[in-house]
Amino acid sequence: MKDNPLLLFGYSDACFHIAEQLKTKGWPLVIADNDLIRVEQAQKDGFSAIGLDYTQDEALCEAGIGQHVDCIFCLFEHDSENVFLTISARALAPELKIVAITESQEAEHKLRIAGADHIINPYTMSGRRIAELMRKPEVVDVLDHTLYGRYEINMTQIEITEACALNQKCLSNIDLKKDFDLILLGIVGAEREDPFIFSVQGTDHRLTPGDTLVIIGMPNAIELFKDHLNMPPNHVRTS
Amino acid sequence: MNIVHVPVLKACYFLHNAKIYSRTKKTVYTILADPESRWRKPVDGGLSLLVIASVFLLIREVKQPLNSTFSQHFETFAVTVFIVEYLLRFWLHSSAHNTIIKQYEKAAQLNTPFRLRRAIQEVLKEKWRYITSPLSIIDLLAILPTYRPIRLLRIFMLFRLFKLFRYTRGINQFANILAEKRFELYILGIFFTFIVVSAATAIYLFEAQRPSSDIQSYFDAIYWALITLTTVGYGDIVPHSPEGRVVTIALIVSGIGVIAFATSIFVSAFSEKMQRLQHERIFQGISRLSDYTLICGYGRMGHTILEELSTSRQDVVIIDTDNTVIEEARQRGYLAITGDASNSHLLEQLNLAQKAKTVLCITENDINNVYITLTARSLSQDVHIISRANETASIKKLYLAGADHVVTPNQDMALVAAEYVGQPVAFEAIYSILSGQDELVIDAIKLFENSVFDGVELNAIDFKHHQLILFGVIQTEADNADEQYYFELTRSHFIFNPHDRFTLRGNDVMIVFGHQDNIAHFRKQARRLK
Repeated sequence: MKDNPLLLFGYSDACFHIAEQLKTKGWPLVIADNDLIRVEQAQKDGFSAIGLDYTQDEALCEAGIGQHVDCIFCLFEHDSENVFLTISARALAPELKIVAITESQEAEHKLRIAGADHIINPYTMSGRRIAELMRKPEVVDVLDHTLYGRYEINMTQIEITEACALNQKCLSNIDLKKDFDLILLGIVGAEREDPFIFSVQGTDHRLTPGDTLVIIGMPNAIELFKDHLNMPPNHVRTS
Repeated sequence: MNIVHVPVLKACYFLHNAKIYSRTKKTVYTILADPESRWRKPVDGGLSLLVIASVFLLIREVKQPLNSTFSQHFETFAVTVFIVEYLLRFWLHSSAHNTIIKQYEKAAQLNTPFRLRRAIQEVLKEKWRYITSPLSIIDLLAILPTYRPIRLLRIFMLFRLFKLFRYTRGINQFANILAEKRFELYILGIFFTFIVVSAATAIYLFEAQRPSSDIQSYFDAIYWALITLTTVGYGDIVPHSPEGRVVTIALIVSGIGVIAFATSIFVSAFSEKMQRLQHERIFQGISRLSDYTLICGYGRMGHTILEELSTSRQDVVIIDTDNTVIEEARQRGYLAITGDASNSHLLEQLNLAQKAKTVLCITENDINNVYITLTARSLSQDVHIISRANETASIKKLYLAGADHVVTPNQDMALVAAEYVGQPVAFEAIYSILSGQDELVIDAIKLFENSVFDGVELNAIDFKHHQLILFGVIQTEADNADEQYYFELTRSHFIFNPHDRFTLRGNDVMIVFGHQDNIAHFRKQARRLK
């Protein structure tokens, strides 16, 4: 998946920050905007950018939507533009992953109807974070220093395959802590609609192909664990 | 030294040093006069009720002579309370022995002879100041109606109602508003008197000589002029001559003018004052809070924070420069003030140093946020400050200004977005845990000194049984520095996924994942002492 570039529509402030973040993580990305001045600005800032009229379906197809593009970001400053882009893209490619950004709760709802998979509201998020900071300052402090920001501890998902060593094993029989120094947070069943199964929840679960483990650990420990699972490296996505 | 001086001074110093005396006085002050005391409401309310009940009985007595023993006893009781209250306030007003001691010490310092008479004069002067203060005159007059033989004294029963001034802030504020418009009311009074007197004189000149006229005396003329001027117009006295009617016409027209003038004065006085009153009431509300959260800037982020906090019953005070958003916040029932949060005077008024627990600087302008952070930090070293940085460059400045935590919406969003692309499943899981939308949460459990877990190795705790996952432990002392996964925090350090032989200490903080009920249960266990 890392080979196919991500398409970021609309070179806004938010887009700049996201593009930088994605770049440091090594994702290939292309910024698309209908305003050529903003395209130029993006190129000046060191991103690859193309001029593209998102209102034309042909232009979207040409950019690869419905073909090799897996994921797009709708980052225009106006919610109406983002909704239009989401609807157009969803119509062209039902399987496409669409992430949209909005600053209003009203637009969140509209984007969801339009077919966005994930909607991020920066103000709601930061507001929650502040509330969390007031309630549990220690937790936020720890997460800021570990999971977020410096990436010394990684959170990763690993998909169970037929050939995997853990296939058909019961959750209660796996002790990742003792064997690999990892924390198994939980499992998401093969059917993505299933609720998240918390690893110490009491109910036991037999792992089947398609299940996804959510684990937390140091990068080297995670690598060791993956080697142990004998999985081809391109099956595993890490950040 | 005079022979009288010694015992008097001895008595004064005795009172001055007597703890029980000063303690009693302090208690009486708290109950009766301290505006901040929690006794204020019940005491004022009870006395107000007593006033109203006694006035009610006095009114009844006008037509139905007092015969039931109950009402007689009640009246005696009420008057006793009023007298005691009067005397207590008289006692509280100043302390006589202190005045005498002060005079004596002053004399000793200046090496002049001490004059007891002067000192007592001073004491009397202070007490006299109390007796002549308007409120205490009212108090005194309120006691008088009990003396029945003099009928005129009955009117003083009204003073009992005036006593309510003491007990209600609202009436006081009303009086203050009128007092502030003194100049306008003075002009109005002159204007009014001038018209009434000139109209009365005119009508008296024209009508008084006619035998059939209603106006027989100058008092009649004044009474008529007043009734006409105020547009009341009873019609019991009417002019009969054409001249008199001309005077009436002129008076009616000017009457409208006077009424309009009076109304405008009152309306403007109240509308000016209303905002200030509301402001004051909010400040009073804030002064009653403790450990509140001050939110500077009420925007989209503020909304989310308040929604999140609404469950935890946290006291919140909002400041914003925009009046419209403040109105909105007030309608939602929050204490909100229009003002500039970087104004240290305003923050001092809010008693930030003593009363605030957390300050959130979340305006949309980084310059403001830095300034507010700096102001708040300069007022209090202990308050927890969380600031918002809109630009990456501001983060460092906010920390320098004294923020404990800095939140950057744009960066947070970018982090989350990037995380989502790579691992949507893991992301959704952690996101829902962090946002606390599910009942699955990550939380901190603090161990006390001497807790049952103090000195216990981790393998002795069955986390699986509690359905919890230990994420790590925060320690303040670095005696586990050999631990493999060790992260420095600001004032402590964090050990990720510690091994089984890890030993817990008092004051450690465990970070665990789990269902919130399980966490609450586990926390209860962890809080038990050895």
